[in-house]
Amino acid sequence: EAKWAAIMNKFQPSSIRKSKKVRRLIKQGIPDSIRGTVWMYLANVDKYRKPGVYAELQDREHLEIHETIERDIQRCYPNHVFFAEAQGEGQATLHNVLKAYAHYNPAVGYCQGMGRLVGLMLMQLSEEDAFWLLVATIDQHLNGYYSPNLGRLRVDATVFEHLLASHSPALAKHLSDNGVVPLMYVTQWFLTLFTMALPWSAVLRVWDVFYFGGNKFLFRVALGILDISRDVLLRHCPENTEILSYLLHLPAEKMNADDILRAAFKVRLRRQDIDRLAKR
Amino acid sequence: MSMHGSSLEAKLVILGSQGVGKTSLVMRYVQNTFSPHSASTIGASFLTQRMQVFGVIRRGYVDDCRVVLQIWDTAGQERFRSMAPMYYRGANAAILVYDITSEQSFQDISSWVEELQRNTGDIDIHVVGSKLDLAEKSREVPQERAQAYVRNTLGSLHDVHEVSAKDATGVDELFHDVTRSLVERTYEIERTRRERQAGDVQLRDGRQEASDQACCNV
Repeated sequence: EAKWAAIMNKFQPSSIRKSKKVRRLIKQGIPDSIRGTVWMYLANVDKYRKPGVYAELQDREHLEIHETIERDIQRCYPNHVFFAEAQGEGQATLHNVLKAYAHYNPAVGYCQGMGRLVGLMLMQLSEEDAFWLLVATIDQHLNGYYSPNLGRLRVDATVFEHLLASHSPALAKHLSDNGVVPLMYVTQWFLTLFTMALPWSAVLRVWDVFYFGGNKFLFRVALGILDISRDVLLRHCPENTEILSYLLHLPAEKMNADDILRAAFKVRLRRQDIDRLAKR
Repeated sequence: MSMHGSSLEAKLVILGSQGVGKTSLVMRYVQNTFSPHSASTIGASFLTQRMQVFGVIRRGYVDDCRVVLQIWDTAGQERFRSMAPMYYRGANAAILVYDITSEQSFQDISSWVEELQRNTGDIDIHVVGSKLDLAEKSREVPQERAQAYVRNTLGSLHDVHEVSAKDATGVDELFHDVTRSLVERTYEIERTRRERQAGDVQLRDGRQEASDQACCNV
């Protein structure tokens, strides 16, 4: 905790990616007590935050997209005690943040999946902090993922297909021979930042590395998950039914945070390669 | 869809607007559970269910058939719609769900029917009105109107299914009808092809069997 306080005082968030020490701390996991604060620091939230704006967004008029949000609020975390109650604080704050974001970024509005992000942010942060973290997160790392045509998600699913083919050719072939394309599973993984795919302990650690390394870590983590699943998929999932059942219902007991992160950091992946593939 | 003796694997896709209860319908059928608020589906969810259809006529005999249903439960928000072809392409049957308490969700059905008819060969379409337990309190879509629409659009042998995932009314019957219809269609296709080959008596039994299996990979 003290180490993190010193780092946040001393360094600009943009300059710490190269630091081996920070990298090590990130891999260990950010302490719970300051997790939200460190995420905000890593996401450069101060660059986005403007005083008074959030309150002003709350007072704006009703939008059509707000109805889509309202239908979804109870369905973001139906099994989490903080969000389960219809009149509870959890749902109220979730609702406020999502409605405000629809005004803040009308080009995106609201897309199913965003509620999972905001919910997790609200477990760590105040309502207004969660809002600005959402703004920073989408702008820096998930731009185009939630847009009406889901454009960037589609591009990145294709990029992922190429990355998988060079990273793990046998597995890539096994999946594609069985008609399983990445868009079928990375849609849920990426749009919810793995909150629907992994157990909580792993989700928080994945978010730590995501805020540290950015969008690239979506690919790394996804490849890491497939790496630790490789034998099961190749040996015990001979057909498309078994493969899809596995990928869309990852067995929680196998999704250990340390294993996933170790595999994710091991993946050789350069930003240039991702950008080059994305342009094609 | 492929058939091996008297078992077959079939793909089923569930489509319909946001919040009509697609996931609840599938959960009631596959797990026999219901929760008032299931987590929103992102992209699509995938489930399988095994079942048996009894007493279908095949090659002049009454036959029982084991079926493995692969079910794609898709996301309902409009912006996921462009992904739907990935799930309905190659599907043998589609269940289109509307909410009987939402006129809008019923209106949305017709564009799904048109899209499926335009983009798929001969997918078996079933129209389902959900939330039947709310009929007395807040029904907006009369059953007669839905029924008339279904008969006009899909043919006089089709019926609208009204179901409740909450109290389980009609759910097993729905999936049983869907599966039975899949089996009958498969046998029908098989029969037509056999008749076409009927003149060809040179084929030995083994080869006949082999070609049967191959021809049923629809």
